[in-house]
Amino acid sequence: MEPSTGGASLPSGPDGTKRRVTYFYEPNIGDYYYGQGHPMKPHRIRMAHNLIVHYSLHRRMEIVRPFPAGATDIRRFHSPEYVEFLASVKPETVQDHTHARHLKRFNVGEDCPVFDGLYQFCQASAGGSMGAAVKLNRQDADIAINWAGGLHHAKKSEASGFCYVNDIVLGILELLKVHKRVLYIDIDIHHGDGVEEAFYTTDRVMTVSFHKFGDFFPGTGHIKDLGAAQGKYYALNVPLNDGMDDGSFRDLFRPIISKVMEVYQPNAVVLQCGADSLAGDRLGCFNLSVKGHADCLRFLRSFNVPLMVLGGGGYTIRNVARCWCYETAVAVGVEPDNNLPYNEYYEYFGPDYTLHVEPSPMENRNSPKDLEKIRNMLLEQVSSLPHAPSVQFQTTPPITEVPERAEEEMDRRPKPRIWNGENDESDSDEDDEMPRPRSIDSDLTPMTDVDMRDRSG
Amino acid sequence: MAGWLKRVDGSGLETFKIHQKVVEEEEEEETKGFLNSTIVIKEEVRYPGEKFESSFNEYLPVFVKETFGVSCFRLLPPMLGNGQSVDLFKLYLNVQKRGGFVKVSENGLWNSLAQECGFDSSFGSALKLVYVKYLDELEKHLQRVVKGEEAQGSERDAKRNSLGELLMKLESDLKGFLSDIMDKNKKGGEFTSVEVKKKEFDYEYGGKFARLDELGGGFGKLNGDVKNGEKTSVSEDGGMGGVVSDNGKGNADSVDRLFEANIGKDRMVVEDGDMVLDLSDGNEGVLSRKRRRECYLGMLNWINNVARDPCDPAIGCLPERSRWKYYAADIAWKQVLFVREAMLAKTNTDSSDQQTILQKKQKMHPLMYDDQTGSEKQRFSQRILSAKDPSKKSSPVTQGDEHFDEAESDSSTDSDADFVGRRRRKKRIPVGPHWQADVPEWTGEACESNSKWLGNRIWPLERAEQNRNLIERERIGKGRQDSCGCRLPGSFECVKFHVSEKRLRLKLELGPAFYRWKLDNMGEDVALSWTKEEEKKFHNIVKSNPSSLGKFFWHEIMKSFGNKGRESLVSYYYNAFLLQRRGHQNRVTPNDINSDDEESESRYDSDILPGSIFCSPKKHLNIG
Repeated sequence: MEPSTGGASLPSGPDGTKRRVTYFYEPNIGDYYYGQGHPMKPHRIRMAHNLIVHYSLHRRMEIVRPFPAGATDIRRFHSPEYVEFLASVKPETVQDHTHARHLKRFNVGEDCPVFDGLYQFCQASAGGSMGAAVKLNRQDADIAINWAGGLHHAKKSEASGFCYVNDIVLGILELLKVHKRVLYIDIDIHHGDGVEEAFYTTDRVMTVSFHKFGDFFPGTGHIKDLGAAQGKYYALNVPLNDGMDDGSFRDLFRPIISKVMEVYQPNAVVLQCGADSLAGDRLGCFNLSVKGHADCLRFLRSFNVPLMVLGGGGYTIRNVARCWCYETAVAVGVEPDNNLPYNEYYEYFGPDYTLHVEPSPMENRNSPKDLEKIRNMLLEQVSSLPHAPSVQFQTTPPITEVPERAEEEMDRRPKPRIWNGENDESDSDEDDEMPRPRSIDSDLTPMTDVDMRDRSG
Repeated sequence: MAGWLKRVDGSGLETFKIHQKVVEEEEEEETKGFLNSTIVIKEEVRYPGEKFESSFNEYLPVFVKETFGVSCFRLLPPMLGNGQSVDLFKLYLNVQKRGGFVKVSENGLWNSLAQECGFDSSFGSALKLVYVKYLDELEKHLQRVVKGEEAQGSERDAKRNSLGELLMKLESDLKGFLSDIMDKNKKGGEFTSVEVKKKEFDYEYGGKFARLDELGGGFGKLNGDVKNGEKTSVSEDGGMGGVVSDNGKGNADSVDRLFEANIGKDRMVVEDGDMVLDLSDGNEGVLSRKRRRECYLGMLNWINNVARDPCDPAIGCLPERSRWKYYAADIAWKQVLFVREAMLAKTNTDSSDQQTILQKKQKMHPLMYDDQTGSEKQRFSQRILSAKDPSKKSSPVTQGDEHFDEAESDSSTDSDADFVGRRRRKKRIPVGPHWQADVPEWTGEACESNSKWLGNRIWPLERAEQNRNLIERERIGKGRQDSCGCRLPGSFECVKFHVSEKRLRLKLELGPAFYRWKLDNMGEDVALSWTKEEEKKFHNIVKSNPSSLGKFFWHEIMKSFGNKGRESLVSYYYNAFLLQRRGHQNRVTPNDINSDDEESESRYDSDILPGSIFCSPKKHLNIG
């Protein structure tokens, strides 16, 4: 049985498998160009979209073209002068006296060049994330995706690391209208400094960033950066070294996030899925496979909390497209075939033309001892937090998890056997589809959406 | 301040004077603010062992006034017939040495006592008179204090109670003094504070350190407080309790508290101040207080060194003010800043203000800072600077800072020393409305969101647009099949055929969404709108501008195809040009592929700014 085309009409419940997914895609995004040789290529978002529709994932989603964020909307976080500058600067006018002064002030130039359509690009990126937030706020969706978002380095009055407008901060601010507490998780290889900084002094947003630390951009994200004032202990940093592999990452991510979910009890979660933590990234130095990367999303999805999924870094574009396509599949609960379907960008994925790529044989410079130390330190830190800050404790009735196997199997039934070849023997779909963290789930007494919303008023 | 311009001019003396005045004024204010004991302390600093004398001298006029009231005027200091003034303290001591007024009188010792006090022995009776008039009452009183008779009370006694504590201290000081602590105190390092005070002027004088002048305001107070702190230790060493030393302690404590409060308030800057915090945890004992005072001593020593030789290269330059906040609290000048801030906070008591003084960007004279254009710019320069640029280490202070950080993490016996500790933190997160988002308090009421954000739904299609005749659709997640009936599987032709076949099916299913997503503008079909000549030209331009020569083709392309516009050029580049080349690579050099290949990758390799996101380890690009 094929589900109806109306992805949004799919029932959603506490079963941990079905989710109503909205995905934001701006059709012009691929034609923005940072400049020759610049590793940030919006084209990767188009490539991902192309794979998504060729895998027929669109049938399980609502897909929306975002409304471009206006200057007023962007000013909800960014300073007026900075927004004014972004809106007015053009490649042709960069040399103008007034702009030249601002270029330095706003850190626009080298990493963050002025390119044709810069502002429209920012508008689309921010509009998608704000739209995603509104979708979640209105309970129209359980998961909202914006691969053009996740530009986590942008500061209030400063561009940084290829990011100009911090769509994440804008999206979270929108979420905060309805949700009391928002958890932000960042698996980009670079520290999520812009988001951390923006919410450094509030306990309404907790930021958790996993990143390479030490002689690496942007230089922040020390394990002892915890937040300040009201937000003290509501910023979590997981500093990592080169060569992080799937196993090591998972052994950090799952326990830490479980603990955070248990203690902080966010009303909504934002996941930045920067794909530069993948193996073989042009700027990154981790060694994650697409599956290892997507495991973070899979894990978060099992919590039954409104989830915003954003893009971010990712500079080996074929792998970025692979990763975000696969993660879209994880969001809608599909395990796509490893052999890529024929698609317009087919040649980009040669010579193997598969969805998944093998991690490279590189050394993992994170020793198990180091990782354990980090994990224990952070777990301890999280444990010391007050549960669900500044909210009266309310018991939520434990939801007995009813795995809807029947429905799931029906989904799978038409699966032909021909393709089920050697590439897939390792991942039994059953394993992948079932929410893995059963023990954690039962510990957490996951809340239904209804519960969540009751709590958030 | 008037001194600014002059200082900038480098005319030192003038400035020096002004500052001296300023500091003196501060000192005075300080004095007023504290109990009388402060004055005592000040005097005492001149030479050790005279502590008692100074408190004696301080107390006596008050006592005299209290005791004899306005009705009876007593000149201070008293004079003898020949115009010589009497050192009452000396007199008192000598009398006490001999057992007190009664004993001296009984034994007829006044004449010899006069000699001891430096007068002719004939002045014995005169001295006796002076003693009776000035000191007898005091002696009795002190005896009463010791015997605990003070309690009951006439009104005058009650009045005197306000002095009681002081007296008590006097008494105990006396005892301590008489038990000969002079020698012991002589060894003490209490001269430092005087020295520091003196040096401070020298230091102010150092034009090179003009920037440090901003600290100046705090120095006066700081100095006073620290002196009090030291005073405490003196009293303790001498084995004396008493009020003055308690006051001293109180002051030292209040500084400490301010210091801590300040640190707590300002965590993100002070992280490394943990050291200080740790010391203050459970600090009931004198020991911890002493240890903290040692912190100040280090700071004072630093000031001392600066004063001795402002040009000493070991001191280096103070970083620009905008960067102060990035330095750890274990640096001497940073501590000075903290103390100063604590003092200011004390006077301002604006607890609601989350910003530190450092962050308020107060400026005294624009010439002092070259990064005056605004907060953003300051951040910018910081960001660039703090990147791993080895050349930056030429600044001695920076070096010192790093050294400090390292030393700290090395010495910290934390469990994380070996892993987390060895990675030095170089950046700190600024706090204030310039940086944080404005997060409203949770009201419990959800706000409505503008429905414009729901955007333009493209999928699923409106009912009317749906294609009801769709017979067969692909399974969700279906990939390509391993085998195909093509003559040369995997060839250009084979792939081309299957891609267009798949595309057609998708188009059928998506209907209008196919165009709304601009799928018609994806892939090699983009090239269809280009003429053969145009394509050739494009290729030639790219070819003639090889990255190996550091050339950029894109500029020329934009010029040559001015009529096409950026969108269609970018589109052609990604959808046709790169795709074709990738196809080639896949078949000709499958071990050396690069989907991100652009002709010029070297641009960012060659001139990478420090702090750039490009500053990442160079990666092998041929994976996957």
